[in-house]
Amino acid sequence: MTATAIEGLPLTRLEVFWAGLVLPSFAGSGAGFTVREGEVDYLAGLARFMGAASEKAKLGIRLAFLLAVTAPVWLGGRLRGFSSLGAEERSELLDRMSRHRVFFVRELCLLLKLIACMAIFRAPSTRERTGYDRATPGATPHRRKLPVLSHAAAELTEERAA
Amino acid sequence: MSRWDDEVDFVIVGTGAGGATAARVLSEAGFSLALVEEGRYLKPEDRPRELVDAMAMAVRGMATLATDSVVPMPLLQGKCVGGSTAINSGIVWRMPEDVRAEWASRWGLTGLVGEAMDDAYATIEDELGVGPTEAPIAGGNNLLMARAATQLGLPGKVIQRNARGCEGNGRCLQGCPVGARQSMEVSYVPRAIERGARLVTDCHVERVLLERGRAVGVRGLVRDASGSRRIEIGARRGVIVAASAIFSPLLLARSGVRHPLLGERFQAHPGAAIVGRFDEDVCMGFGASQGYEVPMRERGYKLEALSLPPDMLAARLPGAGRDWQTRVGELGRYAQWGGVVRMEALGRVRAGLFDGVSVRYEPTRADLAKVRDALLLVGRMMFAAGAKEIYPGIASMPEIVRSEAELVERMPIELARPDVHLVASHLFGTTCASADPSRGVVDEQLAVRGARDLYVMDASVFPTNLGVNPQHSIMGVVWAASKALAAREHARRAA
Repeated sequence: MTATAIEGLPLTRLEVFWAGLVLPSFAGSGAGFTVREGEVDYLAGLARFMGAASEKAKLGIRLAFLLAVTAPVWLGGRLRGFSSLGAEERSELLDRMSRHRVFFVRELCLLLKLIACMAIFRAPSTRERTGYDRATPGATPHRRKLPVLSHAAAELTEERAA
Repeated sequence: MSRWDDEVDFVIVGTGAGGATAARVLSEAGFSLALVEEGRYLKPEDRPRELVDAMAMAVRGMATLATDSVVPMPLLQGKCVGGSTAINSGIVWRMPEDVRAEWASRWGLTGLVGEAMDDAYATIEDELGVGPTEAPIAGGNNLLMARAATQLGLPGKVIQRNARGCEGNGRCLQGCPVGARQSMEVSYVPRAIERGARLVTDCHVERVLLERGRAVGVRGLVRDASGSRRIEIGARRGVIVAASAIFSPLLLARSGVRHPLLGERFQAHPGAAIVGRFDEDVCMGFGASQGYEVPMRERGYKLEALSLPPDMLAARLPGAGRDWQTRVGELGRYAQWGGVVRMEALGRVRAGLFDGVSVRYEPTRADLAKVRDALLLVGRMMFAAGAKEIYPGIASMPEIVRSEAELVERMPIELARPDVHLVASHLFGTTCASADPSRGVVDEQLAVRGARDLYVMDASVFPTNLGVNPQHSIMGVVWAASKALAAREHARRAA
């Protein structure tokens, strides 16, 4: 989390604090793919996203953070703050938000999840651990010149069709 | 001293499929041009692999520009030299014959969609290296879809693309890193520049300058590293607006053009997709982003394989925390195929409070029925190809479905709009063309009614949507119109 990223964010200090709590909670901690300590700069990714997003989306992001940090109350039914929850509880709440019956809640949660993923995969090291880039056996990429549909070829095709 | 910062024969606003094709034709007909683009000029080597950086450079509003609704629909558009051609998959479809027939008979556009269009297609396909996606660079996502189509006996086909020398980098959305996809910023824009056209980037055109009803130039605001400044470019022969189905009508309205249908008849091809997990490697990171499709025209949609960048794919996987991590650890095992629907809904575009634009567009019940039909078929294809589980992305269904029987049983009879996340990437209408003055903002020569020497040459002139990817149709229509414009101007010059 860099100072530049925070300065560039069109958010209040409190919202920046919320972002730092909520965005890493999608990945959480545990089995399978893990985000290593200090590997991902979530706030830099958020700043990049918000720097180019529409005004409506910027408003939506701020609302989404508010919804997420108050989710322990309105979704979890407990008078607790998001920051007081353990990592698994935070992830579980976000999971429930992403399946909420109200479209608006689901979409805002998806927006935050997408931003978190963009920040995660901005670090090349994370991408390498997912298997996303492995080439299918026998399909080695190589430079090749594809055939083009030239006038002559088109005419030939028409002649053959006739 | 001239009042203009620059003066040319034609000013073209926008460098997407429409504007760049007009530039290709008019520059080679000997006219001087200025191409004005709101976005930046990005070379292939400048396009980052990382999605957030790539989108920030080239996609309007990070794809968060959306319809005004309680259930908003994101509208995907490029914002860079090349427009949406710089972020699409280079899919080439000629305009379907039934659409051509309808445009000729109902809208009086025979001059645009007649023989002139066939000639245009042949030349464009030759120049942009159109050909089938070849098996060695197809990649697992496309090959799996082909397997599914074969198993179910569906009319699948390899996608024709304008990709010359594709290496299967799977980065069409972020921008082809080797410049293989012949989007406009690597094809017709440089070709026009070679013939003397001037390119002005980072310039938002505020208005077309009309004097006594004649378009004489444009006024724009340039914002670049050196700050911001206003410029005016004079147009001796005319101004061509090619700023998209959303922004062309807004520019015309700001410039004083009035017509009852300006901004009306907005149409699109919204789509939704299903992700499936397989036991075998799919590896979306390799292969053409889109290389296989199943046209279901009689049912009103087309199915397409669509490889996602890892960020989008990971965001599309269910859950958060431990379960999500497990799935992301196998990111190479997922395929994604979607349905793109030819919707009947008509919307409208107006100036608005947020981002300067308001788009109203709501799918009808019949449209949602097509979405349901398409997603059901995609799900069946996934299981036919061997998927172990699929994520339908339909709110009223389980998040994870593990068999075809469960899919059929749990798919709602009727989709409600909030059930499904739709994204629209093919946008049409809003300055419709018609030979009938009461039905067309522009005439059959794409000239704006009520103004002289002012033209619209992009998908906003389309009176209907197509049911296929629109880039080639836009280029064909604009090619025919530009050729005719060049001929008229040559005749005027000779006289």
